[in-house]
Amino acid sequence: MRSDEGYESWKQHRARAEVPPDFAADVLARLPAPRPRVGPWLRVAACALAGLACLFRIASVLGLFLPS
Amino acid sequence: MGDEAILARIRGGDRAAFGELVERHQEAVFRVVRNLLPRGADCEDLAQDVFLTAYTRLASFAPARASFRTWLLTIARNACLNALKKRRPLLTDFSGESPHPADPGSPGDDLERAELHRRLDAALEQLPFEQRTAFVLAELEGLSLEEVGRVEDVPVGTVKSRLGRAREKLRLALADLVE
Repeated sequence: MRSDEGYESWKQHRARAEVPPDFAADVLARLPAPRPRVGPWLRVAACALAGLACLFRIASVLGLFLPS
Repeated sequence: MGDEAILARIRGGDRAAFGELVERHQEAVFRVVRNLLPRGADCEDLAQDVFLTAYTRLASFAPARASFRTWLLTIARNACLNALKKRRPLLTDFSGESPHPADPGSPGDDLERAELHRRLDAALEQLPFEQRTAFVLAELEGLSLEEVGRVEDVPVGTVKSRLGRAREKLRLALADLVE
């Protein structure tokens, strides 16, 4: 056998890709979970609630110093 | 359907479309990973990581700069390099079962072919990473010199030089075998 024939057969061997049958399914199973989509209205409502809670807390603290 | 159409579906939230993209490119990724890592390394796990990295970085893929395949093989090349940096030096053991099943032919031919393959395997494993990458991408994966340059982030001249040195070392591994 000539060495160039052997070289070509070696390249063919190295170029084989033995992919497991369920490889794509396994990759899909490992994909990170999609982030839940939060609508803009929900963000506005959350900010408003946080703001109200903050104001309420400030008022409570200030109330301690007011004469009863 | 081309990669771009599948990518558009993925960007639209169709996760299953990514499976189609994996099936289109899994052989190329496996081929590159298998040939860049030493024998015995966990190629399947690393190939999965390549696709997961691609999925999380899809927003950074720029079709104007490279094809999806070239971009994906760049991720594969970098993942292999990182894996090699993390692992301890590996002594290659060629004493075990031959990875090259004998093809039909005379027993003499089979022995000669097995010896030739064993030598080429050893020579490939001993190539510096950048020469090995150039050889694998150009000779086994069929990428153009420009594409190899994009994957390795080097000019075409450097790719040619690396490829030339890799071929020369492989040729030297067979120097004393009879014609």
